[in-house]
Amino acid sequence: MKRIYAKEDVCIGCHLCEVHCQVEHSRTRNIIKTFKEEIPPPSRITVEESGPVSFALQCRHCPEPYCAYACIAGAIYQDEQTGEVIQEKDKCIGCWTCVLSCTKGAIRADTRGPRKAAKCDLCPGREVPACVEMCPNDALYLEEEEL
Amino acid sequence: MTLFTLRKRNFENQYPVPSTRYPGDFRENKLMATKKFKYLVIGNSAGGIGCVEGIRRVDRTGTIAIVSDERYHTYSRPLITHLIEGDVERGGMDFRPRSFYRGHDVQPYLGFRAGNLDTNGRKVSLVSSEDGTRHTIRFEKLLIATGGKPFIPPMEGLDLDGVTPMINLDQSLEVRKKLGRVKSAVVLGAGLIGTKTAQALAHQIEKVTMVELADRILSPVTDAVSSEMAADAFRRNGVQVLLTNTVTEVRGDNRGRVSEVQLKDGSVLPCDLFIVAIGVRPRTEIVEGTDISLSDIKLGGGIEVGMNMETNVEGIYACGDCAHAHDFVTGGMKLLPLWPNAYIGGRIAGLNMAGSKHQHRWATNMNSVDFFGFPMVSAGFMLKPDRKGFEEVIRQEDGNYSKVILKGDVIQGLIMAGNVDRAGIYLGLMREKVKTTSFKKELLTDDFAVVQLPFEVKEKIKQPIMEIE
Repeated sequence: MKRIYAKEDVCIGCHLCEVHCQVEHSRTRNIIKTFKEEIPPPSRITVEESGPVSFALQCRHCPEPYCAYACIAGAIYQDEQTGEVIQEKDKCIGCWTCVLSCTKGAIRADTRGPRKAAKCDLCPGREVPACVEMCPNDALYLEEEEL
Repeated sequence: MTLFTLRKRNFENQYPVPSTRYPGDFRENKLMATKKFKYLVIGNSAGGIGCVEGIRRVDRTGTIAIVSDERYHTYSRPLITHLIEGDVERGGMDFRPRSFYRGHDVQPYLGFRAGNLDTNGRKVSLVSSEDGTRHTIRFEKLLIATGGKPFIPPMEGLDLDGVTPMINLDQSLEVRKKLGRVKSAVVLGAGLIGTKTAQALAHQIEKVTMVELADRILSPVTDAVSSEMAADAFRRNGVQVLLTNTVTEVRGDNRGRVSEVQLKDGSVLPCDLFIVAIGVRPRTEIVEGTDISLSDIKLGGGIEVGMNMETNVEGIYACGDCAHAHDFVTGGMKLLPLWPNAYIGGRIAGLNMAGSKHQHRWATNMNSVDFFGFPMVSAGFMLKPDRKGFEEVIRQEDGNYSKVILKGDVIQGLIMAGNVDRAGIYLGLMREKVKTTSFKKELLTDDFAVVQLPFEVKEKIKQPIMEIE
C-alpha cells in the first residue's frame, strides 16, 4: 500500500503541504479561488512545530484503524486490496467519534456545509498525493509497502 | 409486582410488529441445509459484525451464522434518530454494504429469536418471527451480542398509541411515519438517546420538551459546564428542557392515543408523542437458566467476561451492551453500552474465537455527539473524583470549553465542547497512561501538539497502529 512519511530533519515548517491539501480538496482546485472565493476546506495534514523541530502528520492508514472500528455509521473502512483507510463521505454524519478515536489527531471536523469528518484520502486520481508533490524540500515521501 | 410485569409485557409487544419493508432485507435469508456452524453469532449489530470481521481476519473458511430477531440487514443503530430527522435516508442506515454476508461467507438468520441455549450440548434454538418455524443450530463457538433493552419505569398509560422507546429501527420508522400528525412531543430522559431524539424532533414538530430527573442533561457524559452548554443549544433550537422532574403518568384520549403526561411537580404537558429514553439494560434473557454468570444487579446485571471477552463457559463469548467490559481508566469491569466498545469487543472476541490471542483494552466511558452544530466529546472521568491526587485543567473561552482531569499527571478524564479538533491525542495519552509532567503547561493550549510530547511517545504516534491490543 501507499503510505506518506515525513522526514523531520528536512521539514522547514513552511506549511505548503497544508495549503496544497486544502486546494486539492477544494471545489475549484485553484489556489487563488480556494482561498479568495471559497471557504477553504480543513487541511488533512497538520504541520507540527516546536522551536527548530517540525514535521507534517496526516492519517497513517493504520492496519488496525480504530477510527473505522469506532465509526457509528459504518462510513470508514479498510480497503482489502490496498489497505487504505477510506471514508465514505456520503455516509458520514459528523458525530466526531472518529475525531475522538484517532490517537494521532489526524481526522478533522469539516463544518463548512453538511458536517463531515475530513481525513487524508491519499488524493484519489493523483499518482502522487498533493502534499508530497508540492513539498519544496522533499520532506514528505511516498512509500509503497507490502501489505 | 405482578401488575407491573404484565404492563411491561404489553408495552413491549406493541412494537415488534414490522411496519415498513425495505427491499432486500429478506433476499439473503435463504437458509442453508446444514444446521451446524463452527461459529454462531447472536446479534447483528456492532458486536456481531465486529465478531464476523474478527473471525474472518484469521479463519477464512470456518462456517459462520449470524442471528437477529430484527429482519433487517445490519444497520447503524445510533443513526435511528437521524432517520427521524431526515438527514439520513433508509439506505444510509446500512452499517455494511448489502454484499456483506455473502462477501464474508456468513449465513444470516434475520428475523429469528434465539433461545433455549444449551451450553453443554452446544446448541441453541431459533424461532422465526415471521412464521414461527423452529430451527436447532449447533455451534462450536458462540458470541452473545444481544445488546440492550430499554428500561421502562412502571407507570400508567404506557400501552397508549404514540408512546415508544427509541432503540431500534422499527421504532424510528414508526415515529417517522407519525410525524405528520404530531404537534408536540415529550422525551423522558436526557441521556444520549433522549437528547438525540429531541434533536431529531426539534425542527420538525412545533413543541418538544425534554424531561430529566437529574439536575443536568447528559449527566453520564458531561460536567456541569458542558451540560449547560449543550442544554443551551437545545433551548436555542426551541426545545424546552425540564430538569429535576419526571413523568409519573401518561394519559390518552378516547381513541387510545396519548394526549398528555403528568409531571412529578404537578404540571401537565399535552403531547401526542411520548418517547421513553431513560436508559438501557443488558438484554440477557438468553443466558437465564444456563451456567453463564451474570454480574450482580447492582453492578448492572451484565454478562461477565474476561479481558478476552470470554464468559465463564469456555468457547462462549459476549460483548456490547449485554456484557461487561474492562474500563482502562478505572481498571474495573463495567457496563459500557457504547457503539465503539461493542464493535471492538466483538472484533476481539472474533479474533479469539478463531484462535488468535487478544485482549480488549480500549474501552472507557467515551462519547462524541453534535447538537445542532455544537460538538462535544468526552472520555473517562467527567467530574474530578473527590479523592487525593486528582487535579483538573480547564480552558474556557469564546463559547469553547475543555477540561482534563489528571491523577499523578496522568490524564484520566477529558471533556471538549465547541472545538473537538485533535481530541484523540488526549485519548491516546490517556490510554497509554503517559505522564504529562513535561508538557502539562501546554495541555489545552493552542500550542499543544504531538511535537510537544516526549520523544518515544511522539515517535509512536507518528507510526501507524499495526496491532490490535
